[in-house]
Amino acid sequence: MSRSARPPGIAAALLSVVAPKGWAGASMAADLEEEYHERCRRSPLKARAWYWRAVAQVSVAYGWERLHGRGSEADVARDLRGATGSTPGRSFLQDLRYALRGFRHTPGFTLVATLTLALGIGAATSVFSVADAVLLHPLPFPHAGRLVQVWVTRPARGDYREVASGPTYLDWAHDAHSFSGLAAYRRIDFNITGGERPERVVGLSITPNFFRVLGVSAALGRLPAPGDADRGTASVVLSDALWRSSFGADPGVLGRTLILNGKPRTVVAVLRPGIDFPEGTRLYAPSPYRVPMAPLEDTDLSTDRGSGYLSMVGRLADGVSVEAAEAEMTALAQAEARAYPDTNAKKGARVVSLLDDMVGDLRPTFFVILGAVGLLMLISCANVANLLTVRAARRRRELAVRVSIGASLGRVRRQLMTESVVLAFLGGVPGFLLSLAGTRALVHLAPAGIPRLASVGVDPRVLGFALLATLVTGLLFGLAPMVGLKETATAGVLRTTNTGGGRAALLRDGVVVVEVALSLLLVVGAGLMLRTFRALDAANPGLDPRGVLVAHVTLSNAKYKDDAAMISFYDEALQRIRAIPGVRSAGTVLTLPMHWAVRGTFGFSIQGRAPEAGDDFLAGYQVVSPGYFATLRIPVLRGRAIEASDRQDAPLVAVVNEAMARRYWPTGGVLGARITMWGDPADSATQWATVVGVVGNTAMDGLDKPPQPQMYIPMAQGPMNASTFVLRTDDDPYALAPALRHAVAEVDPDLPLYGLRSMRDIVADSLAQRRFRMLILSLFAGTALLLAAVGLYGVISFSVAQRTREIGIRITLGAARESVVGRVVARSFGRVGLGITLGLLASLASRRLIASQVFGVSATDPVTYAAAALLFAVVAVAASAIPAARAAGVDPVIAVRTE
Amino acid sequence: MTQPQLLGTFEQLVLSAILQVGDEAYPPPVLACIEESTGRSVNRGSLYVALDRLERKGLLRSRPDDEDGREGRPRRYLEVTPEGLAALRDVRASLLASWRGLESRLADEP
Repeated sequence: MSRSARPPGIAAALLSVVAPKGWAGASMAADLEEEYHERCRRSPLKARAWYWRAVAQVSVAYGWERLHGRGSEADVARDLRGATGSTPGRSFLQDLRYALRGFRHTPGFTLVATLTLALGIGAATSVFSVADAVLLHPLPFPHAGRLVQVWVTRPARGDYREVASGPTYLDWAHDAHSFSGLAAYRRIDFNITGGERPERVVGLSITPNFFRVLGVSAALGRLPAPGDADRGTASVVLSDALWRSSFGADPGVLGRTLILNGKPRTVVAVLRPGIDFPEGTRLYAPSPYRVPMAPLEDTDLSTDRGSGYLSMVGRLADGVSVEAAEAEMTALAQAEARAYPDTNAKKGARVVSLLDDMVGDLRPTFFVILGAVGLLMLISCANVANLLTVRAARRRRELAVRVSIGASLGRVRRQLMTESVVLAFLGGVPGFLLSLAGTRALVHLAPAGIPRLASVGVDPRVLGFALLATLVTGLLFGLAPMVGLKETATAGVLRTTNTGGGRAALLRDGVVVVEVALSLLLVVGAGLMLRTFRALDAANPGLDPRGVLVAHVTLSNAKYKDDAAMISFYDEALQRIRAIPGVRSAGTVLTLPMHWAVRGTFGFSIQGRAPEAGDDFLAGYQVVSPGYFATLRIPVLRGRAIEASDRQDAPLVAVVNEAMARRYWPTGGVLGARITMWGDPADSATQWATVVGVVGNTAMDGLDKPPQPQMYIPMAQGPMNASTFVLRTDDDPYALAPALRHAVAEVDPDLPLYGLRSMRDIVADSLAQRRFRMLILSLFAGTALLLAAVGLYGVISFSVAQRTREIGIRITLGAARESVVGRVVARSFGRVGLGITLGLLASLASRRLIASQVFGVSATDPVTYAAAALLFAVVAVAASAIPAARAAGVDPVIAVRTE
Repeated sequence: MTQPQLLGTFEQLVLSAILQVGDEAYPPPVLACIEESTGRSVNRGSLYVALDRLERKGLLRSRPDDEDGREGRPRRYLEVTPEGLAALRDVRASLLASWRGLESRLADEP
């Protein structure tokens, strides 16, 4: 039989679903197939179209018949009772129609339930779509799971990872068998000149095998490869983003020469869109040496084992696991440590999958948020479950009628379940729409530094998640109305009054208790985050950020060949900046406190002292100009600051921070001590710097990190080609930006000034992750509180309505209305009190998880706990006030007549 | 005696087509017959739904044929029941009654 002789499979399957069961339906299918075969002989294509049309006609006709079937008496009876012999498909359609009709008749219930679900599903889907894109999606490289990052470690310091030296990379790349390729790279920011206006972009100095290891290919041109004649040293590769933003997506860019940090390079390739590793990299420059270039100075570090500066990315060889690779690299690191004890002692190796390396740090944040979302969804489920049980209780009579005229209990259950799922979808659709907005808001609010945010969007996985969330919630809360159904069915309900049933009432109360407990957990979490944030905001950064403007420069090595050239640039620029009207003071520093930058601690020596075993002298290293401490208002505690007299030819001096003075000179004697970072203490030629002052600590690594030892040396005695200008004004710092640009351009018109920010914004940015977490959690806590209030209100007002008759009798018999109100409020307090207690216990139980997220406040902070409990007490009063007032206003005569 | 049931226009067409086709009446020829007599194309789904409804009302009967020619999926042979005939007769009578005296106006245009 030829292929065309069979009717289209999907259509045939559809037909088998809609057609009536039994031989009559089968014969209809056979009729259609017979005619199809006949038509096939003339034109198979037209026959297929005909068959589809016929199936569509049959489906529509039967669908219509089931939804709007003529209401003959037999049909009505069947509808009400649920025909025992009816097929699942048919009864599902009946249930569907019945459910929709019911929801139309109770718009208030439908609206509240739908909104509740939309909130829960919308929040969950938003968070999932961000978490999915950031944490779960594979990287955009072929077999990305085989890519790993390789780090140098110091096993004594735990999870600490550091960059490798040139010789380490060369040895490892040569000796390791675990990788099909191991590439090294180093971030170097490039000044691009020769265009309209100098521009500064994030770049990478790479080894020639870099692209081969990642497995990427070019959209335009040809990527540099290890075999290239000049190792690609005169070439540069642009990212798609840079190609579009700076070169107008011009294909003619290939072959153009750009001046990068003063040296010409030819554009040889443009990468495909979406490829920017590490994220944000705009151009890639193969290194002229066997190892990547060093960031600050253009020198060959391929033999300098003491300077760690490069990162390594490798592709695992076939069949090698991450663990096996790490074992091999650790062995290599140990061999190296034995061979070069001076530089490599105590060093190890670490191999981490590339994705883990990128997003591993973010996991805790997302787990907190996912936990919150899970709670929120549970709360919405609980809420709707409660609304449904209340509704089921109201419908006892209807359900009883159905059972009494012969519907099976299973049939009624199935119908209630259908209603739940329909309701879930009524909430799921707006929930999904809400998540579109929510996702955009999350991306917008998210702090800088979260990778891959640009790829966040709605894709089939997100849609699938929303669908799954909808179904699961539908089934979860759909279970609730089942409870107590049997009592209803068996108790001769037609005669009983509407009291709500014992088990169902217990369930309703239980749900409220759980709901209050879960919401309280969220509110406590949000409260602690809020207090953490306020504590950080109030934490002393050790400097005064108000009125301070900062901007970075990086001098090109080609133009500033020696220290004298750099010193004269900084001196001249500072002179002009200080002359700007409104500038009170100005200075330079190598790296700003709280500002993202590659920082590290360095070993140093103290004259006349040897470090105790296992405790090297380590400190951060800063180069500052005169005026730096004054501009940031970092207090000088003892001695003096760096001054203008600390010139290149003057005696070498250093200033240390209080943490360094306490750590290394706990008994005093810091002033006048002599230290060096570079020389061998035993060598008489070593130049020592005298400590002349102690300044206050600054929150170098962020407000939540304790200050580390820090030394400052004068700019004129150790200038660096990268620096940050800081200047203080009494006015809005941003107003000085144009004047600052102008002042620097007067000294060097080719030098781009970048990263202009106020110090206040930099401090705020350092709190961005925390703010993000706080905002999300507060948002969730607020929503949860609202949902809990709605749930509480629903249950209280239901129980008041149930007891109208009893209340009426009480009032008739002379009970005071106040006492009636009191009883209602007391009942609601009983439930809320239990919920609050459970919620507080749950918060206490999760204190260890919370402790890792808070700062400056205890995870069991009694104020936060008390405030949250009080908040819920107030909500309980508010939620029961309206039903209570309604109860008190009951007219006894009407009340007693109420059934 | 019970009152014969009221028939919709399409139901009349279906019942009379079954009678027209005769012993060999199963859905496709019946459909063709209706299309021929009305000159319009007929929705196949409507036909099957109408057949089910008419059978439920007891106005027609259907039975599978004895042959096994379609892989165990028999043809559905259709037969109008005495109740169906009565209903058709009733429709015919009332239609004729309602047309009395209108022949000249309802006749085909020349």
